Amino acid sequence: MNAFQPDMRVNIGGFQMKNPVMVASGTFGYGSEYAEFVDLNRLGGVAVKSITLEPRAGNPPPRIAETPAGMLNTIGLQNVGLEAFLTEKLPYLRQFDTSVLVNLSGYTVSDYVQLCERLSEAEGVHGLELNVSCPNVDCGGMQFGVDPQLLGELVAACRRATRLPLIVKLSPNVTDIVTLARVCEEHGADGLSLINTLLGMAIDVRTRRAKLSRGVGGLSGPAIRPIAIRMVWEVARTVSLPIIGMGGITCTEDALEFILAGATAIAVGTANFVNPSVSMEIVSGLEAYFQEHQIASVDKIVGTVQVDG
Amino acid sequence: MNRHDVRSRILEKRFLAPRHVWMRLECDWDPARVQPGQFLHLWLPELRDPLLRRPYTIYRIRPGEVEILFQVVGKGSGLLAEREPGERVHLLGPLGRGFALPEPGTRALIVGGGVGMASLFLLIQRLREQEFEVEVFIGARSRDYLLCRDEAAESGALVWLATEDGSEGFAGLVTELVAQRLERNPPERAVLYGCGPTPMMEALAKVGAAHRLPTYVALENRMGCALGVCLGCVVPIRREGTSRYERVCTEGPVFEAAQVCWGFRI
Repeated sequence: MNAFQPDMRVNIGGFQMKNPVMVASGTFGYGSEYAEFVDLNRLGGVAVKSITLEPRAGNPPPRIAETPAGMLNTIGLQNVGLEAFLTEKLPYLRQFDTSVLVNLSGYTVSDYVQLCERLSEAEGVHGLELNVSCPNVDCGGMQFGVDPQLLGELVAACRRATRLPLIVKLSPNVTDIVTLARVCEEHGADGLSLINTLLGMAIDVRTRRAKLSRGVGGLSGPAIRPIAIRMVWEVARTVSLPIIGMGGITCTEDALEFILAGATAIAVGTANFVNPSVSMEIVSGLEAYFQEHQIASVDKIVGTVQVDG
Repeated sequence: MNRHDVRSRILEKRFLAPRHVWMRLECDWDPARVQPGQFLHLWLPELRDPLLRRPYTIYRIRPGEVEILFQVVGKGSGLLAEREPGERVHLLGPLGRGFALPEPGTRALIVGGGVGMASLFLLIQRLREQEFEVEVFIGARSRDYLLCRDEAAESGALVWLATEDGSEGFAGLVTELVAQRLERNPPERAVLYGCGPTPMMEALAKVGAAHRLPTYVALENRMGCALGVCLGCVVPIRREGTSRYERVCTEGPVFEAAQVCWGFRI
């Protein structure tokens, strides 16, 4: 019956996807964990759990705490390390017709550069996502994402190290995210992921202890969505890089909000924990919306939100 | 893998003791493929606060339905306890690695503290079906909270009771009762299985070590995804001399007690 077939393909600075729906780094493992619930062939893309040069043990428990419509985490970049990723995790993802974005993090610029070089040689990696926004480690991560000069140097160095699409995942824990987005653009990034988690804290009043082992952690979930939407909108108005929008997406309507604010693609994060097949629901839901409204392609509505005054 | 996310409905609910709730839920999982000690991750659909699902151990399972038995400890379990038959829930599972049955001829000593008995009943049932000698030690703060005593006795297990206030059975901690039992009449070949508050399981680990008995415990923790992805539910585990974080949802919830680095916070 539906003769109208919208073109759902999107392109984030060379990172091509069959539709705008991704799953966010750290919320989907390396893909195999969700095999029973998600047909990876139907996903636009997968951002894999952050990879570092060496395996990392992560932070002590307690690592998660729930807050209204959200959760705090301090996982601390626990991951299998580059070598195990290449030999044990990546081959699984290669079986599927989906775009693989590898999120990477390091202590130093040199760590990021080495990761970019090694991952660029690997078969089945379609793009790199620089994690400069992890709030849960002392060194490596967020210090790059909050300092324009450090960020510029890092992006430039990674740009020289890879020809793959280079996407920078920015931290919302800054006064003016637009400044940092501009720095990425000036130093050769191909796209931006907005946003990582917001720094937060929760306290158990009975024990009078912080609920997380390190006191503070990253807040995700629907609680942060309005902030994420606002940041996507601000950045999209002033920077020409394509944006992957994320932060509290739980359904098709949430995804559309991000697209109207200026995101070309979206990533589902914490909602995967609650409803493991939510990304499939959003793939179907977006297509139905485009059909219903006779919108020919995704770019027709990216950033088209109307604001009075 | 054999995990499903099913739309279910509450069929029946009862309060067994203050804040202790039993529920029967629709569920089409094959009981033969559920290991004792495995759990399900339950969602009250469309809820945003609390946002996450809650893990509940699989207390009993039959074709077409599953039973859970839980204590109200916070917002999530409190909201579930208020739900009535007919209302919808989503069940993700069966999840985790459960208890393995011992070699034939081994005597099984099963130790439950409070609502921890919920993780052990399926094990008792499976062991008795295969005609293992089973002794069940049930501990609680007082007699009203001694769960599953009739079911354990009906299975043919020998049942021991302990209450902290002495209102029934041995007066004291259930782990003290287990230690006494082992000292008086050390069994030839035995294995300890336990579930309860973390200090109780730590005490059981010591009893098991003192008597050189293999000891397995089902841990609990806060969970995000319960699918091994979020890495939120880890505990420190020592294997072959090195300790590392392992996931209660995936490598657990059942661990060998001697390998658990006790003293972690959950």
